[in-house]
Amino acid sequence: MTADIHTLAGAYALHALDDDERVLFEAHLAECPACDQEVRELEATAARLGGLLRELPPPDLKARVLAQIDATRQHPPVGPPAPPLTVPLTALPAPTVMAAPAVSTAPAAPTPSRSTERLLRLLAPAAAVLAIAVVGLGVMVVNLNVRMGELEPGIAETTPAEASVAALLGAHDLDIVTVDEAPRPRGAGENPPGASARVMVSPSLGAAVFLAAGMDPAPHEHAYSLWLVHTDGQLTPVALFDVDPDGTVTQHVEADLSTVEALGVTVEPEHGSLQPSTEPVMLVSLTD
Amino acid sequence: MHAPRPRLTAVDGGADVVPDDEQLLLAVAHGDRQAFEALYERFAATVFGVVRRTLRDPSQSEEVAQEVFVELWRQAARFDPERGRASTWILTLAHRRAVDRVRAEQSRRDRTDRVAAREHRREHDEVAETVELRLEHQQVRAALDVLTPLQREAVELAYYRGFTYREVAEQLGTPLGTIKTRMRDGLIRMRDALGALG
Repeated sequence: MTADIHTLAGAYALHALDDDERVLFEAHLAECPACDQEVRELEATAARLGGLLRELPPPDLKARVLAQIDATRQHPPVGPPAPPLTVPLTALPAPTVMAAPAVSTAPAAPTPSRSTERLLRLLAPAAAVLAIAVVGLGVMVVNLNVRMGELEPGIAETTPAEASVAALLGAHDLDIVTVDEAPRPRGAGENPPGASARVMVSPSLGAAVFLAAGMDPAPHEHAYSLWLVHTDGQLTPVALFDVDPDGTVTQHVEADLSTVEALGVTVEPEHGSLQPSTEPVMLVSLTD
Repeated sequence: MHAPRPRLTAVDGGADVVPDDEQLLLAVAHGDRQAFEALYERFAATVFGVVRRTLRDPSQSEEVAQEVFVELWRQAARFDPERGRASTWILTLAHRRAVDRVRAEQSRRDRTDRVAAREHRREHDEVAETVELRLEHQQVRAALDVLTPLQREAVELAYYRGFTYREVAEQLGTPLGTIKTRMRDGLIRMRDALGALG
């Protein structure tokens, strides 16, 4: 970083930097209050140049914009004024599952609860052994902040799933379950040992987000299928997906979750299946 | 871009008080669709004007202007009134989007230019100007007149055409450092002139 980097403030405010330089300069801004202040002033000046350019858009643009925002999730508001329908962070109850005695946090030798046992039987006896840990609110907030931070700077694209993660944060019945795959039995499952998953779920919103990392791509002409496992043993397929190039998965689920006690992932033919045709590679129990 | 209006003490102030841009944008952050429509009415011509001037191609300009307003809706929660005015936030978003599209379409640039050169362009004077706006425009033009011709050229090529400072330097056959300095000094001079005028 040379002393000369300060002179980029003008070009930055005019959006006249290459992407590489913009990233460098934004890193500089984070640690140079003088440049940050100057950039804010020069951006305001540049915006006034824009104010000279008035041209009426076609009249139907407004209707198109309004139709599109009706289908667009917003980033959650931060700070005051308090939103009318969102519970502020500080009012979130501590996750009640924290106290549940049946939750196992020991990766090597989990003691499955009855419902977990039932699920394992239901989906497949040889399913990979998973350790289930419930993450406390503090950790969750930190993770979410990191995640929201990744969406920056400024004008990043946001997927519906990412917006949904943010929306879930305000849910009063938000539940977070994190699963790190234990050393797997030989031959079981498709996942590398490093795979992990996190499910955020709010039955009141009817929304859940399934996040995973460290997964292998689905085999040729196959896809992963995400299932809802209901308390009565019914299985509902909710998504077919493949893994992003960086090994991560973000799947947004909107469904009646009141009777759902687990989420499972199987490998299926690429057009999907009505019932799981393979052993689950991942199983996340939402109950204790 | 508007003269400052009196600050209100509460967002839900008297019914006959016109909310300022900042209050509207903060309300949009909380999902207020009416506030969004009001902001659309205030900024549609300027957002479209910025995008159209940078991109030129009419149908692409419509697309990008639509993207800008959808982003405004989506990202309104990121607006921080402590850090600047709503008009700055909105026009920065609009210009950024337009510039991104220009660079993505660089290979088609010449063709787009030729098309644009032939077509009739609606100028800003077709848009009814309020007294407030006319004053604002007079001030900004006066501030532009304060720049040296070289500063003005560098600022205008970047802002109105979406060129990077490297491209500007190449086009003018001028060293990079000189162009960087002209852009910064030009904007600082404008800022100071606007401060003195406003």
